[in-house]
Amino acid sequence: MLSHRILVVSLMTGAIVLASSCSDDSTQPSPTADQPNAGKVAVQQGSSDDPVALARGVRGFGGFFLDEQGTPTVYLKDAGQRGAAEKALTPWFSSRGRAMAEMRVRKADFDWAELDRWFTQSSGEVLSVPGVVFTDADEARNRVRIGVEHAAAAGQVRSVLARLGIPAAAVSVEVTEPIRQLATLQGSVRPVVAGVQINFPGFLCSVGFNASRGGIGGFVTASHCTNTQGGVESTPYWQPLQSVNPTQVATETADPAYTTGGSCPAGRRCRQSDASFARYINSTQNTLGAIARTSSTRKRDLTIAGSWTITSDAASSSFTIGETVNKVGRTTGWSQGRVTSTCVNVNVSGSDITQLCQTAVSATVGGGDSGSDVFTITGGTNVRLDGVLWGGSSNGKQFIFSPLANVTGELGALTTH
Amino acid sequence: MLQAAIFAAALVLDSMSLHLSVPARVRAGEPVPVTLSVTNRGTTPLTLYLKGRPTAFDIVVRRKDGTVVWRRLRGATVVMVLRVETVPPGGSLRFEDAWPQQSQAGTPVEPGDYTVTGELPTDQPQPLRTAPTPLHIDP
Repeated sequence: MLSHRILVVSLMTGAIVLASSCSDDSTQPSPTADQPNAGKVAVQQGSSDDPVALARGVRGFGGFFLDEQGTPTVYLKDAGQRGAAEKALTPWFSSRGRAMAEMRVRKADFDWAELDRWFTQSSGEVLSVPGVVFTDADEARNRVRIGVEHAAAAGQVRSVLARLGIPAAAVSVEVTEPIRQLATLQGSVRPVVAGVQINFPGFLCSVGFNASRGGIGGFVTASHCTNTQGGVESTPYWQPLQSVNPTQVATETADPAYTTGGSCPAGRRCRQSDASFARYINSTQNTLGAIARTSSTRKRDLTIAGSWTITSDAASSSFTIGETVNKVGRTTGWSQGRVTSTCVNVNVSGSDITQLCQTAVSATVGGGDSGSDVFTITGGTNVRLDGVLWGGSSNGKQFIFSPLANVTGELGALTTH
Repeated sequence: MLQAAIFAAALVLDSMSLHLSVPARVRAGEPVPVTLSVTNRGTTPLTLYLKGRPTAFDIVVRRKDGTVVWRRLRGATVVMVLRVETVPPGGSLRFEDAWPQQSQAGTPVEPGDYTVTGELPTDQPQPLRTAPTPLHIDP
């Protein structure tokens, strides 16, 4: 039970993800001379919700918890102190309508005050040891408990404890699973990878893929995921939202204008890709060649379970009808389907834009998936990058993407992995 | 246009209502104006995530037997961007278009009774949808 206090380090992000579920206060006020019977206070007052705070003044008290059967259990160094413990814990039992007779007593080896002091003394140094997952003053074990990822970390922890003069017998060091933050495609993700949400003024899209363009690091997304589709307006981007993280992550630097004439239908403006490039700023961490991977193609499965790795780029703007491709985007996550049309010219609803030589795929798509990576799984988690998703049918059952060859034809050479 | 009355259907979800407005009666061959509006009836700003740029709203016209005659977005390719729109308390967004009184194939429809439904796609799997609103086309 980690109800007293626990500090956890996230080994995935390096950031603290959960800090202190502290249920008591180690800095209890001391009795003062003007308090009646100050010297006779045997039981300190505390909230009826916090049995440790209630009982910590009982001599030899070492912790309180509910065992696996739900039985209230108290650690006492001296079983003769049961009466004092019952008196101190009366508010807790009363507030829950439980009988004091239910309470069991276990033999404590250490006073709670000692455990709490050792926990406080060691926590900072211990958590700085690589591989440490958590530290805890554990009410259910009458020990300071430290979780580590591996035995090497356990050795370093014991060295720290010995140097601090904390008795080894008072500490339980256990190998445990690391605690990871559950990142989603719509949450804050660092390093930034393909498929996660981006925000530009008034709109949401997805990162297509990270790339280096002329030696500058950035990402590709859809051209209509800029302030103006076609032309560079230095569109600012945030990830996931400006309101969540106001530090801008990137600025639009390339978005060729749509042109008329030639193979473009009369009265229309055309390009062969709906793609733009934004360069990373403010030292935004990103991983070249990584695409966020969810665990399934189920709708609304947006939890990032790992990553796809781009190992090659599609060289042609044509795809074989019937071949299977995938996409990962912020709204519908990972979807997969077959190519239904290749090198088709597509009019964009509500605009004068025609996208030339695009690819249609029978797969799920939703608003906000614009800019998503499109790829083919080549083996394991290795993929070939195929292009950038930009549109789809209104019923969300077909998506359209610009082939990577068209993207590089308009944005210039891109290093994608 | 014979406009005896404006029929309307509304979907009310907590602080938000989606409202469709069409004429009750029109003459054969006349375009039918349709207005879809979202109103924040609450006391705090309402944030909506709307698909497309421009926003992709749909209008569905059905015969009395439920057969779909025309759907505004049928066959349309929509850009898959999400517009983030904050509607202040009491504020509304309006989307307007007209049904040309044609079938999806482009042929004129017969006079008679029809229903019109408005749909507003968001980032959820199902769009916001109004109840069917009656429409009568006079000969």
